[in-house]
Amino acid sequence: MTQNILAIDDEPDLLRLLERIIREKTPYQISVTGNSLEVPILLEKNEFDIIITDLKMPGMDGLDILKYVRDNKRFEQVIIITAFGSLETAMEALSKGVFDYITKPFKKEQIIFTVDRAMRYQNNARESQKFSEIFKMPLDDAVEAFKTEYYKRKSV
Amino acid sequence: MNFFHNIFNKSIKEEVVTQQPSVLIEKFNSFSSVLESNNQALKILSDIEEKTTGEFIYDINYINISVENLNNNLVNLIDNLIALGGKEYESLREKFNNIQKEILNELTEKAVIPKDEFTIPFSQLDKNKASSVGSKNAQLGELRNKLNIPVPDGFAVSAWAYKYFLDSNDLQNKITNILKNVNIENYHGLEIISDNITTLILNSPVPEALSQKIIENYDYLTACNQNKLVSVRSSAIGEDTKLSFAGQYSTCLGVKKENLIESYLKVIASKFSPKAIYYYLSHEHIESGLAMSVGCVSMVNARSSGVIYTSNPVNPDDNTILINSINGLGKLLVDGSITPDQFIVSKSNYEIIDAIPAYKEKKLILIKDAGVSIREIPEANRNELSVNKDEIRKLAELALKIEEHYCCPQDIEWAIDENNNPHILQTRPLKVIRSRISKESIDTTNFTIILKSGMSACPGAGIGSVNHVKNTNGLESVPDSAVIIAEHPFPGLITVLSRASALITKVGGVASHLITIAREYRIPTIVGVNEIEKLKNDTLVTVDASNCIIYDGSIPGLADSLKPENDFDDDVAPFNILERISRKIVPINLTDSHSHDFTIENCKTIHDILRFAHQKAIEEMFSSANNLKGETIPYHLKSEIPLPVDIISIDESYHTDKKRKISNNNIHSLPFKYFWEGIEDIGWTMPPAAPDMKSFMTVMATDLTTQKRTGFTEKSYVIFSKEYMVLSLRMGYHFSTIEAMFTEIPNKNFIKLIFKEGGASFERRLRRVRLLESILTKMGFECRSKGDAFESEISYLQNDLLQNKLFALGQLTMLTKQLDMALSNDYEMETYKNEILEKIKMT
Repeated sequence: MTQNILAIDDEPDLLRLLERIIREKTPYQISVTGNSLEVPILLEKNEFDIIITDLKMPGMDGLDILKYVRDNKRFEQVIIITAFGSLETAMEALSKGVFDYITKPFKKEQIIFTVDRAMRYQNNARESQKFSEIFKMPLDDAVEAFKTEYYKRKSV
Repeated sequence: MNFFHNIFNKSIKEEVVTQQPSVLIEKFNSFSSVLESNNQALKILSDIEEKTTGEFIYDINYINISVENLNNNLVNLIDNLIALGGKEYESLREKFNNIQKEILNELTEKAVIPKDEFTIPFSQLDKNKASSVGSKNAQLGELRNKLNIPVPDGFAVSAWAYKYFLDSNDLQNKITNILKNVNIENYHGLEIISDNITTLILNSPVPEALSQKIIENYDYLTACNQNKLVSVRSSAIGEDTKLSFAGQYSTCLGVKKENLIESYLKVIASKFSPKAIYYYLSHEHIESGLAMSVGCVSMVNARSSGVIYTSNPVNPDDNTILINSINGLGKLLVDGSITPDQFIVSKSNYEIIDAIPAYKEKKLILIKDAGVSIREIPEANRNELSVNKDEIRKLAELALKIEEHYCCPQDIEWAIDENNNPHILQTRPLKVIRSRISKESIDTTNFTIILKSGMSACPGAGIGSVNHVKNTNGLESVPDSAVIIAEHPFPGLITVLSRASALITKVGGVASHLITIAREYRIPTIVGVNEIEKLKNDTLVTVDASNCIIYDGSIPGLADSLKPENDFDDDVAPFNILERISRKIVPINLTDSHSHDFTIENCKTIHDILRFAHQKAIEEMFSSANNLKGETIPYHLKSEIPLPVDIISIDESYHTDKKRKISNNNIHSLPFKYFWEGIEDIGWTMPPAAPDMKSFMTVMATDLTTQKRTGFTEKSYVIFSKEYMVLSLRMGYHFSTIEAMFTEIPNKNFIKLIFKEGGASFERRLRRVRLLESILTKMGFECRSKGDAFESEISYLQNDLLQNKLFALGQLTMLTKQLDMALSNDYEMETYKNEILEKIKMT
């Protein structure tokens, strides 16, 4: 299953670079937007695993996007990119449940590494969600659901 | 805020009764501030240098903050140097202001043409002159003057001269107005605009002051030369940097005196050809920022010419050099008119791995009176290789010397004259494209192959409809995502490249100018494809340029699967800005502090200013201490080593006898203590035997001629505190300055070593520098040398490691004392190196 990323930044150069790195160096799909106000619509229409967003932007800023995801109990994990020398805001973002933050300037490998880590986390989250649902079922249904899942994976 | 002030002031207050006079304390405070600002500035400088490697992502905010911090440190550094050494350093402030202004102009993208002479001979050029004479001219000067590479003689007509020409004819505003509303996608519109500007330029007179200078230089250039012909070549500012501008401007070949000024105008006007306008405007360059410098170069009557790529541009890791070659002058190769011979040469031993002769029907030759002419090559000779094995080796050697100098792959134009001597005509960075290990391979076995032929010039894959293009007519009707098929890569094609999904040509090698540009646009490209007529117009095809296969129909996923790595981000504005400003910050030109060139006037970059201020601060500090000689200021080191060292302690008073002698055991300065322990560990030894009388005589001669040294170099001095020392060590016939900081905080710690002179011949002194360089590199130091002057540095070390390094540096100082005399050959150097490494336990 292809995993998807949504990247948001009002700085077109940075957005272009992010898109290039993800497309060329990772197996993930990426969609980008320079207009943060579009984010709620994009989230409703598509399924994303990760949101990479700049912290300071006109419209919704990085913390607003984080709040939107948390308030709506959405699945996406948020990675925030912060400006040179704004460690305090980054720490604040961490305390509010951001998956991780990256401070500019950063190495290309750093974003790849963080994205990979977040994708693994999301895979585990999906897995655990699936099994919690099975455990909530009556035993017979649970055994059936488990068998279906078991054979599906065997065939892959 | 100020690390040095804090540590020293604190100690001074606690000890209270140091007997140092207040003037010395004040000087030391200024000195400490210079060092502090220097260290901070160097950290920012290293950070900027690191960010230009292409591995990082940053925005303009990072650049602005870095430049601001750098400027603050520089202002502080210069203020304190003036406080320390007096008003003679005032002009450093002005120098800094000028460099700062240039940096700020780059940040705001305001192009400033530096004021310079109208004409500058190649003998006076090096790469730092690129902003004045363009990269092409500047690099030819660099090759000729720094690397001793055979380059034809010539002179540059500067960018300042171009500005003078425009201003005299009031042209810039007119040109800017004409270009204001240009639609670069409309080729015919571009042609009309190009015609207007070209006519404007060709009808404007070159002011006499300028034309006279050009003619004078031509006369001087050709005075002792039988060959009175020159080539007049573009060398625009901004050309051959991140963007190659390959083949965008004109060159006039075989120009005689009578046509010189006319050719100068033609080259200037070529800045406004349709393809050139398209190229720089599509890359969002501002036209007025690309001033046109021109080179007038002695014409090489080439028997053969070509292009060398010091790496394979589509497979840079295969350790080969690619040499393309044709008969006669090189123009037919670079404009893609004919397919060249191709040689693949091993980088390790210069052996030819593969030689592929091309069928060459014609060649361009120089006409004795003036101009050039195309001649048929006799049928029998058309398949003959245009260069021989020895010439290939010679060219490969030259090419690798150039690559090594620039530390990156190069795209080099060369010629071999009628006497079989090679000449280098141009060098610029080569863009290489790495094929990527595919995420998932696409199965193509069920697709029909139309053609499998040619040579990959840019890897990747593209899908589109076939569109045969014969000339510039109808270029605007080429649809988006077309697969463009052309007989040869003619220059006008550039205007459709950006919307092509692939490019295929029948004639031409990977080194032609248009193909270079295709790689910049990352268009999957195959050259030398026979039977292009098999590809019918409007047929949908998939071009696999990595493997030179053209499939019928569309293979979804192949383009993504074969997309090469993007090693260059030249379309990203902050990257370009940092690249440009780093050229005014990072390079260092002042390395030898004893050379006559070590002056404020010669500071060209921020790094130069730092280097200059640091060196002068140390000299001023020692000189201040030296002036206090008659008073009871210095202590004297008591040691078994017969080397007088005067000590100025900033934060500690010692109880001593009347002779004021102290032994190393009682010294509280940690860096000095550990360094001197290394010295004493080896002990005083006699210098190694000079193997011959010549060495002995050289030593004597040097001794007699170095009497005029300044005061502080005649004796060894150290200024120290508990955590810091700067030691000027005079030992035998060389001296070195060793500066070290030893604290609990690793990122404050460093050791810097400056080393110079010696008793033996220059060649032997160079061997000692090389020996030191290899040993210190092994110890983890960063080294740089120029002639027999040598600098080395290590920083960010934990205490225990730093202690070991200081000890080893002390040992090394003794072990290399007067060693230059013994280094009569490279073998001796290797032997001593191994012995020393063993003694300092670095093997």
